[in-house]
Amino acid sequence: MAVYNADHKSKNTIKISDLTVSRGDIPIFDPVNLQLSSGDSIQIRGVNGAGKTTLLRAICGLCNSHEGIVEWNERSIFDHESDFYENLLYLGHSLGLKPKLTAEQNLNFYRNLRFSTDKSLVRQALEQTGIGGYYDEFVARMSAGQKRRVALARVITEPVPLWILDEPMVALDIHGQAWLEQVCNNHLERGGILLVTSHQPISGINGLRELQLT
Amino acid sequence: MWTWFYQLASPKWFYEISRKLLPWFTGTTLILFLAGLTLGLLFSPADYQQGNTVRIMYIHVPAAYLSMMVYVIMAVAGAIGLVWKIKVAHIVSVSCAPVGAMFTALALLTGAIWGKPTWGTYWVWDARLTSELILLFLYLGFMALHSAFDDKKSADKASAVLAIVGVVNIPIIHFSVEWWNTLHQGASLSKFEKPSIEAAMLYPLLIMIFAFKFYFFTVLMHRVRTEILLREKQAKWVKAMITGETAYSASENTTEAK
Amino acid sequence: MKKIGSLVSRELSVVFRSQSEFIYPVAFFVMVTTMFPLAVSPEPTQLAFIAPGVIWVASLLSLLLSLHAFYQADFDDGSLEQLLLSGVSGYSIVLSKVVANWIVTGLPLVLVAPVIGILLNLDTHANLVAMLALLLGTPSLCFIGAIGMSLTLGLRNGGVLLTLLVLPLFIPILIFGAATVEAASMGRPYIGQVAVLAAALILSGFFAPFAASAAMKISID
Repeated sequence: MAVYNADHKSKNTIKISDLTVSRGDIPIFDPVNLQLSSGDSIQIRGVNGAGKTTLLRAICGLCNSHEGIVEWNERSIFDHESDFYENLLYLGHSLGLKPKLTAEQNLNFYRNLRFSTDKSLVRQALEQTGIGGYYDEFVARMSAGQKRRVALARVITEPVPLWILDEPMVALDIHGQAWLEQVCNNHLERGGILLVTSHQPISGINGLRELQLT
Repeated sequence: MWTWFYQLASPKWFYEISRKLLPWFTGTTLILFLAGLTLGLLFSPADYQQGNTVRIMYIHVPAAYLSMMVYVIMAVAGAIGLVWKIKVAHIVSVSCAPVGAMFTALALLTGAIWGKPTWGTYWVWDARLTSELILLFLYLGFMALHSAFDDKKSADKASAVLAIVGVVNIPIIHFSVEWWNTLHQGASLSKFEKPSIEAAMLYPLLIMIFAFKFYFFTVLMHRVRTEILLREKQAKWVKAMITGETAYSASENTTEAK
Repeated sequence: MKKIGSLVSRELSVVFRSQSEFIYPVAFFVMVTTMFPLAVSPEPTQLAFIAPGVIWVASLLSLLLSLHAFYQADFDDGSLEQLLLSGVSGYSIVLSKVVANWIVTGLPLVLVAPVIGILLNLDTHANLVAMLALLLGTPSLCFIGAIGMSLTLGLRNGGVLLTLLVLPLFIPILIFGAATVEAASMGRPYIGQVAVLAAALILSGFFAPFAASAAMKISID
């Protein structure tokens, strides 16, 4: 399995062509065309119900009723699923954390699925997100903001080139937001790709493009 | 080479071709029923043991036969829909279910009615009746699953998976029930077992089976057409047809679609 | 393989953190079987006569009860989509779920069954055969249940619907499972029934994860 070091040496691209999702035959948004290469980032904007989350999920291949093509390095993600998923980190509204496990156990588990065990990196990531003191706390006992930080720590413990973050700023305080913006900048400098949705404007990410969903 | 296959995939194409086929199917169904019922009820001999009650066979046996056949068609259509992502195949699969369930219920009902004079009771745990009952459960599960989804596409796919799982299981269930039945034999002597059947009874029976088949395809076509209209109500050709624009019936047959 | 291992161990550590989930299905099993002598008759020969059926129907129902909790939590908290998006194949997810589900629910049933057998007046030999039959049959039930559960994941009345979908598919296992115990209690040969149960396990173990993972991907939308 590929292990990504500090730099994503190889150049990656994600290309989205004419992607729409329909609910009961009615398309939620106009077809989306988008191409992002290493170092590119984009913020998906739109009013509530415009389909931001749905678009991100469709890009991840989680929608049954999509039309259009998503390609990772010029290969359809639907035909080369595992190749795409090994390079993807998607964080949605549901964080995917087990409430009955500790913050550390949750992170270790996801790290182990794709990379070799690295417990010190997990601790380090929790330190960075500002909840280092809570590594052995059950996720069930954490606040919404703390849970969000645990989930976001995965961007450090699982260094993959493509990040798709759905409303990552929700429940984060100012420090958390600043930290996230800085982490995203580092990611982009090292050749990562970022797709993000957010209600509030994001000012701290360099070169962030915008896509308005209609 | 595959163009005909993908043409079939187009709801519009299916809608038009089925409109031309429907009168023929309806007519054939009527003629077959008339012939089969006349022969079966009036001209075939009564059973030497069961007397006239045997005539319910002309309904029971075709219904039971169709109940199995429809499930297989449902699963095959569902599989085609899943593999080739063909809308019409899913619509066919979904439209099969209520018809198949009706045949199954009819087979159970006629079986029970037949059972009363034959066994002296409406229900015995005969292998075939039990299999039919389980088949009815499978149909009900399919319909329940399909209606539980809000999104039609998810519903189609999920119920297609269920139909495939079901069709793999039906022979296994059937075998288990047969085996279970022989294990617990004693109470029932199976009257449905007919090693030899007289030609005068066989022909009406065969005609009735064909009548049921044609009836099924006629009803299926009606259901599929209705479902197509429901699902494609946003499509241009449906809107054009409903509002009566001439753009639609530009093909050689210009009779007004009802 | 490594992935399946870590998936199973995570499942187990989640379950063992709250012992109640571990106990419920077994408690259900014991209590349901206790209802029968009260409802039918405490007469020993009659009890021995209905025992195979009672044990099998009760274990089938308690497995059914456990299924929902096992899959639904992962769907609700987003773990399921995270697993799929981390490059874990649907096949591995289903397989690890089934293994964990069986260890947590199926295995305790196998171990408790002889106690119930004694209460229902089954002799020692039949009791041992009942354990063997459950050992072979309950994993098949977990596999088949996984299909039904994956189909009903995102649905509102998923629990009731699951029962409707899965019970008819359980019938062959029920027939042969109960028949094995019955044959043993009557001193007849039961090797054929055991062979059928083993064959059913191999078949369901091979095919069910494919069907269930296809269903899971549909439900996750």
